[in-house]
Amino acid sequence: MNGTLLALAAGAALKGRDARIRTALVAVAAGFAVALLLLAVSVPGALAARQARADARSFAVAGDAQAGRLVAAQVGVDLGADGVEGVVLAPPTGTAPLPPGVAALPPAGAMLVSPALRGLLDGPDGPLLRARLPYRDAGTIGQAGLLGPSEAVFLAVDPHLVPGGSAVPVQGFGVVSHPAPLDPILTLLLVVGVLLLLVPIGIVVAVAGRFGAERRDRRLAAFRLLGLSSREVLVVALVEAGIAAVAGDLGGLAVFALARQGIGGITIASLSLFPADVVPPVPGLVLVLLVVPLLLGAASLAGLAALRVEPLGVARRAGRRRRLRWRLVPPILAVALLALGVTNLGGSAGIGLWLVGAGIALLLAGAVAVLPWLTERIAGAVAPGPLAWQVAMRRIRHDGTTTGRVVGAITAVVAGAIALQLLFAGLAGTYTTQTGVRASGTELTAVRLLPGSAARMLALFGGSAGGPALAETDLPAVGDPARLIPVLTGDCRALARIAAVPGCHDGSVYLSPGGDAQRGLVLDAGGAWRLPSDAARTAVSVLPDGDSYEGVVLVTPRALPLARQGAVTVKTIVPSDSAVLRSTVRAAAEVDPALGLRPLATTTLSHRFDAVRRGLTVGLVLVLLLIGLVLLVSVGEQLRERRRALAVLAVLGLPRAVLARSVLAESALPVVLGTVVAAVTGAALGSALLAIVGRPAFPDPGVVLATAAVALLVPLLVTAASLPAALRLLRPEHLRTE
Amino acid sequence: MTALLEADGLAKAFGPTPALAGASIEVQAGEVVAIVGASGSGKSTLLHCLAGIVRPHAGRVLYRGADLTRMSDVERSRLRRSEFGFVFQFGHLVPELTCLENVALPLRLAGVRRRDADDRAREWLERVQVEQVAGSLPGEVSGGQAQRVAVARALIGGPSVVFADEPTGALDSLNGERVMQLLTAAARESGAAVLLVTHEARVAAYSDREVTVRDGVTRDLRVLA
Repeated sequence: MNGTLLALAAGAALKGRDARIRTALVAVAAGFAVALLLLAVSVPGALAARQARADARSFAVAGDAQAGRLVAAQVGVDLGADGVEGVVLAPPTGTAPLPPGVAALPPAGAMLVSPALRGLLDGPDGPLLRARLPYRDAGTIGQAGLLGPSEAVFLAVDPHLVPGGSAVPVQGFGVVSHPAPLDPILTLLLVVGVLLLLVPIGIVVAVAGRFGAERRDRRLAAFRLLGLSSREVLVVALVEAGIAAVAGDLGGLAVFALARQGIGGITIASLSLFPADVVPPVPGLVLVLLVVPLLLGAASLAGLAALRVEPLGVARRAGRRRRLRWRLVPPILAVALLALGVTNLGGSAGIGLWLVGAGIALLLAGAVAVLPWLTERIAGAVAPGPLAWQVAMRRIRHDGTTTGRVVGAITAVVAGAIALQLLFAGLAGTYTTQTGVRASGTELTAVRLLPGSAARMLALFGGSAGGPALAETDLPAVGDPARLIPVLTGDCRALARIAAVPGCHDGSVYLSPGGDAQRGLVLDAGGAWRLPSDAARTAVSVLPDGDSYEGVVLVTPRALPLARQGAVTVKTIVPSDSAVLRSTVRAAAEVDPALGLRPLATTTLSHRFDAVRRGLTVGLVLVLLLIGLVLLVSVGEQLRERRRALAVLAVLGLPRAVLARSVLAESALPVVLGTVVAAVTGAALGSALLAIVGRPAFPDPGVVLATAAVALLVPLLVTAASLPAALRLLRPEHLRTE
Repeated sequence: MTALLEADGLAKAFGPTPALAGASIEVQAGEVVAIVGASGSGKSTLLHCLAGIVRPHAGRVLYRGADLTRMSDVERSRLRRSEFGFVFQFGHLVPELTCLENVALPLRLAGVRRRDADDRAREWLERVQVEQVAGSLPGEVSGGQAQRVAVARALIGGPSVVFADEPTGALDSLNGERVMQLLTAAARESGAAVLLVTHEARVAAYSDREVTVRDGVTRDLRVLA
């Protein structure tokens, strides 16, 4: 290529307002795509860095107590929604190993806190938290000792800590963890998710490549008039796209750098990352910076392939109609690849996974390819109807491709999201463990309370309108201290919630079957206490927190006062995130600063499954935002290009209401069709994936339709948002701009 | 005789550049008037003011005694829809609509049923001798054909005034002649006045009267008929 041609091409991209606007629009859309892709390729590294930090601060437990250089205990202080974790050390006897982020251990009775914990301590719940962290603030834990900027942790030295229980001898800090590889199903989920994010981004970049194409095409025709060959104008178009792509790459890097800085302030699902950890690997960086320009160039060439750029203007190639044949190739290939993939899923080198991945990508691409054909066919087949509808349908037939492509990108996202939802729903059972808990809420537990405190706590819990307030302890049998009999103390109201207690009054005693407890047995309760011979037998149901007892003695306070029971554990359950919880915790923390809070759930979801699900949901939201942005730019750009046509319609007296209805109808048809295609593709893909993982495939119509409806609101909202601009352009005086 | 359309003391500027500086004109019903002048003289601006496309900064435009400059945007739109027809240099057909649909557009906007509007549009396409392009999009027809479609669109609603801004500017002389013959003949037949902006003497020759615009000021040059 000679220099003159290059200069001409560069000028085409940068000289003149229109050219600069087009280049800027393409660069903005490409830039956001680059930024999103850079974020995506940075995630594995960021998570690895997080894991490395976790490993570096983990205890290396000593084989025996003598070898330990420290005694350490991992402790958690729950505050309902905010969890605070920490490490409590016994005062070191010699030179102590230091965890990362700590220059020197705090003195006995003091603690180091993370910046996030300091924020909590200084916040409205600070006094409550301080009451439960009975250590003096002696400094800050550095970044090296934290998993993320929002992590609330502390490191305390407690002179009262002795080995035993969770307090273990520690050789030092830093372990090498070997996380188990993801199981094939989670890997499949990740593959689906990543493809789901990449396919729409690719489409979005391709759409951006066609921004301002009409003016670009007219410019190319002018170059033809000046003597450039059709091959040379292709080069000009490519260079023009290349300049926009380079601007997009640079813009994307800038947006990524800004987003990376902002990441420190964002916490999603209790996960926060340090900006320094969010670094794209070099191969990923190079790939992203190359792929986006290549896609833009390909989109430019594909757009020009449908046109004949002649010296006197640009014409569509005659007889070019959207053909269904090649559009059916991707879905057919997809089915074949999915079938092949299923049979090879357990094979070596993950070939089956690659085949399934390729099948999914082709199925999504097929859905996107079929949509414009379907839209054009239906727009051509429907009756012309009212003027607004007629203009809209003609617009779609004439050049509905840009909106159609963006809706296509959304269709791919929605189809993938539906498939994922179905897959998640089908797999949730596999990754869910029954905890045995029968209630939801937060369990408050005060352990080893002495009699006075125990009575106060029981009364406080009893008045909290939560679950049953009970005190539990084990009392030894007189003459046989190894024979421990569980005893639950509560008023009749509390006891009635865990067992049938007919005729209960303060002084009643009940005995559940099983175990060693029997009438007449004498227990050591600050003196001998005989289990009454008339104690009624009653079956105790599993407690709301999942605990179950055999041979438990149920007593009301007057029958066996707490003062005689020694140290007891008092517990109740309070609804989470409620004012009751906050007020109860505040009051209870005054009685027992070490009050324990435990959120209860009837089931727990596998951490990895949950992480994959949350990660993909965040990714989906980001991709939808990107699509919404590109659609907005695209609609604005289309309006700019239709300025003259709109002015002509205004001169002819087109009422604004007609234009508004027409613009909405123009978006509504591809959106409705996109919903149908997404629902069908998503349900099919979800069913196929469920079959692959051996789960029954029953698409839930509610899930399918709700997912489709929510995501496809994006184009309708964007179109509605663009209406004022369209109406502003419906002015006859804009004819003068010609 | 009361003028169908008259303007008095029109002034209009675009930024610091004055386009009209006290232009005046009168047009009688059925009259063909050519507005001539050099490029940038303000003749298109005058036409746009007379058609209610742009609002002058000063002066008034009376159509059948009603002042366009005092009308709201909606009222002017209604007036353009029901009383005026337009032909522009590049046809300015709606690119997404077929030629038939373009011609039928003014009737559809006036509330005529689609089938009736299409039938009348077909008649008009025959009348301007381009019935063969009825189903084609504007981008698929020649400039001369597109301009004849524009003439049909301008006249189908039975306007009282047709505004034609350089209607032959993008055509070769043969096509230009054809378009002018069709436009003026059809207008005279239907009794519509034609206001014609041109810088070509051979086009102006189709008019009954020429009005010259120079530096934003009008001068009635000659009466031909």
